[in-house]
Amino acid sequence: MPLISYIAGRFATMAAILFVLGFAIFGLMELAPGDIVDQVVMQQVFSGADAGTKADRTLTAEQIEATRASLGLDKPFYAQYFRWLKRVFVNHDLGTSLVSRAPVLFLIGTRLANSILLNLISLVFITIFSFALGVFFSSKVGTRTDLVATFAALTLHAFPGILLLILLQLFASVSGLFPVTGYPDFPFAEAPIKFTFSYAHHVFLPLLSAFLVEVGGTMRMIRATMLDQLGQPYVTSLRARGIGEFRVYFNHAFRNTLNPYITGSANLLAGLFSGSLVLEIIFAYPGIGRLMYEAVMQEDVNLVLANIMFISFLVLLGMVLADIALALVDPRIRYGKE
Amino acid sequence: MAAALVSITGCARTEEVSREEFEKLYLTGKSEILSKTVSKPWKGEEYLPGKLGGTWYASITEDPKSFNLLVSERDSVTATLVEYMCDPLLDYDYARRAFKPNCATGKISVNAKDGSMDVEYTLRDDLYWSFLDGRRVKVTSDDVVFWYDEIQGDPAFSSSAYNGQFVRLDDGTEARVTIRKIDDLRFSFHFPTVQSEPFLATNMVFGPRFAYEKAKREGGVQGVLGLYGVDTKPADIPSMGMWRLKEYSQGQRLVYARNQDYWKKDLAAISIPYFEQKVIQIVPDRNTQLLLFKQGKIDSFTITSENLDDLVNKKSGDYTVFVNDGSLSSYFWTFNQNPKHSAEPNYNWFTKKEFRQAMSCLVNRDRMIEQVYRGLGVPALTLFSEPNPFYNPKITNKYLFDRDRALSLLESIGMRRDAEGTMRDSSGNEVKFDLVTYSDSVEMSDTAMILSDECKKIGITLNVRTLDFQKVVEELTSTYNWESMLILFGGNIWPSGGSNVWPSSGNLHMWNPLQKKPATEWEARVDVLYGEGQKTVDKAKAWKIWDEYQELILEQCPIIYTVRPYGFSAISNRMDLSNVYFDNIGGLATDHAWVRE
Repeated sequence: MPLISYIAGRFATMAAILFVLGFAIFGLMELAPGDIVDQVVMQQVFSGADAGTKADRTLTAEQIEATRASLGLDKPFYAQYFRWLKRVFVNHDLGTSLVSRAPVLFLIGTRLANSILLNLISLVFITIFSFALGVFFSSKVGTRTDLVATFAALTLHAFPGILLLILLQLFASVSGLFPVTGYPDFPFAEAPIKFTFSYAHHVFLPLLSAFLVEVGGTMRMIRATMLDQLGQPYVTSLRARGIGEFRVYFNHAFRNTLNPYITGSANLLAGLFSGSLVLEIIFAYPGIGRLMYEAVMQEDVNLVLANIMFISFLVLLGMVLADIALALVDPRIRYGKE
Repeated sequence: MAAALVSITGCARTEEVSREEFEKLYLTGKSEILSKTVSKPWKGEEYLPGKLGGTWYASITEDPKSFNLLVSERDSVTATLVEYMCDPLLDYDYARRAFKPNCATGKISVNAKDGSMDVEYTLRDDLYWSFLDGRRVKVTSDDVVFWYDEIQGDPAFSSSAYNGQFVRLDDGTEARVTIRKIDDLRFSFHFPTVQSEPFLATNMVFGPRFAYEKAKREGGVQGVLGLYGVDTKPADIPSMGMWRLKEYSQGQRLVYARNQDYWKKDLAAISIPYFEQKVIQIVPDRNTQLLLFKQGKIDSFTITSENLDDLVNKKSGDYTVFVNDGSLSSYFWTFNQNPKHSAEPNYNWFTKKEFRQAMSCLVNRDRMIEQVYRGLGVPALTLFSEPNPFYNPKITNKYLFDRDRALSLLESIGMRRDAEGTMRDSSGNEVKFDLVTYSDSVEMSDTAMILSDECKKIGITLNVRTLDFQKVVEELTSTYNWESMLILFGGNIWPSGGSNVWPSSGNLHMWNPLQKKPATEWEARVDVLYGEGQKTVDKAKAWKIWDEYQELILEQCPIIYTVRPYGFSAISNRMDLSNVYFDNIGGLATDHAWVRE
């Protein structure tokens, strides 16, 4: 029961955070110069007439104001936000993009799935390799191997992710071993098996980049926690009782390294989502980061808000799940009043 | 270690190059680049018959926003993709400077009695809205009339073509150009007064009435705007253009299939386009596009200064680079004359013709061409570009780079340098103002720096202020809080182009927009000339009007053009290049291209 009430409390906090976040996004979009209508006007001017076949096409000041009013952009930002909330919660409709008029849910759907797939694969690989390497190198503490591993981990941790992405893409271009884009150039429905292999081939370098950037820090955290646990009196006691090293490592010390990792994994997921924006642009990966970037640049507030809400919801949900997992793996942790 | 030391000391010493040597080097570099490119503007040549088959691979930087023709007015990428499925009534033959029939023929008649004008169009009898599954619906004049009256002509849709449906009468009022159906293939536009370019005013692309009428009836404005969104199944989108949409995968690609019902055929009676498919990948990063082009994964690439050297001098792939004669547009410098700032000293400077002329005398175009464009550009000295029917090479900017002349012009309005060399106005204010730019390109910021440097040489401080593009848009269209600005607008080949820029009532009459009455005599005269020019059919009279119009604007210098850079475009040699042309009007023309093997 305490866990359930704790979870309910966390969900209530999550709802409050999302509400404030939405309000802040509308406010920030309002503060940003210009709006979507200005963009339309300027685009018409900057692009010029179409190679002479058509007359000059321009909007008058009255048309600009009418367009702004039709999109509800003439209202204060808080009024726009409450209208959005009403639409979402009363009409169960995320609305349409202000630019394309397409349903926001349709625009987000496949891209969100692509981003989740990419980030979950990253998370799984980072987790497996970080634990394996962290535990292994904690057993080699003080050796030259440990020194080399620490140096490599720090180098990777300090290496700028964007530069790594560009270098890997150049490697793909020069070697011809990998595609320079991160997604197959044909749809899944056309040839599902071929697509799966092609996806693995395309996504290898972007994944490698995400993996290399994150694995160093996570591995060092696991190694440090393992070393901390191995220095605890209970480990000395276990060893004194003649318990084998394997059991000491995996049945006792290792279990206790899970706590900080689980707590940090939600932040890791958030980091992966924000980091994948650059990856998606450079490797032309059709994820939600790219959609959000384009929506922000075009000041399509409906799309921006829905995108951010989805990602924030996922990250907050990850945090709640991490708390629940923490309670499950560590019997010492119980939520609620003692 | 020794090698590293040698290398470091080697890097530290740079051999000095004299100006003559530099000029020689840059001329060699320029000619070397140009010698590796092909200049092939379209001059009205007939297209050779090609071979059917193959796929054209292209790329764009962002997703289409819709497949709706009305929505596409608001986004240039979307417009390009939607217009693959449309066909204009007429085509403009810019080599002969005349309209020619496309999916319709047009005939102009003038009614001498009331001074009105009619333009009668006859649609081809073999036009269809066709679907991927083979269904097709005949295109009739009902489609055009509906589009003109019910979509473009309905103010509720805020179509950018709406304003073009009105002409100004002699009494200053406006009247609408009406459309009338004659029969299934013929329709006529009626102008209440004679216009100089009625084909230009009425040429249009249009959507299918059967779909848009139903959407309007059932859903009003939102119904129409929501039609053919990106969530529509491609099979449900009709096309009367060269291509039919076959697939759209968000963030990934668009696939168009050749429209077999398209009417246009080559000399051997084979219908174009020749490619079976056009695959357009959505690749947001230009560098990734470049890598794809070099790998042969896409067939064409628009070259910018950043990759010119890589693609031309260090050419490694199998492609041809085309060059044009210089862009139709150019960065220009303009000064804020909005009365909102009348209390500020710079308002007094900017509103003086002599000051603007002096600034024009500080635009060192040769230096810009040399340093910014590596010699690959031409000075922008005229108001109208060469393809404009009223381009007059004799009417050019008379205030060319000349520091002494700039000084004497400034002196004529009471500006002088003090003992420290700082320029001051007659009230003793230091002549110092901002130049707003946005982070568009290296060329833009370099041009701004050169302007600033040239001003500094005569004691004027020009602070370059680089803003976010959105901020520039806001300053230009709503807050008007800028002093001077360096900006670029799209090129236009018609004298009446820039209808919201040149008339004083225009919302993009940047220096003082939305004027109720012209603020100055010369702006009033520009308004008159612009109106007269639009309705003068007599060529000789029209020449006089447009000559005066150009002379007046170039004399007043509200806008000072800088340089028209050459454009470069690369195309894969997988294509037969016989029918491929590249110029500053049509861009890279590949509609008649075909795969070599």
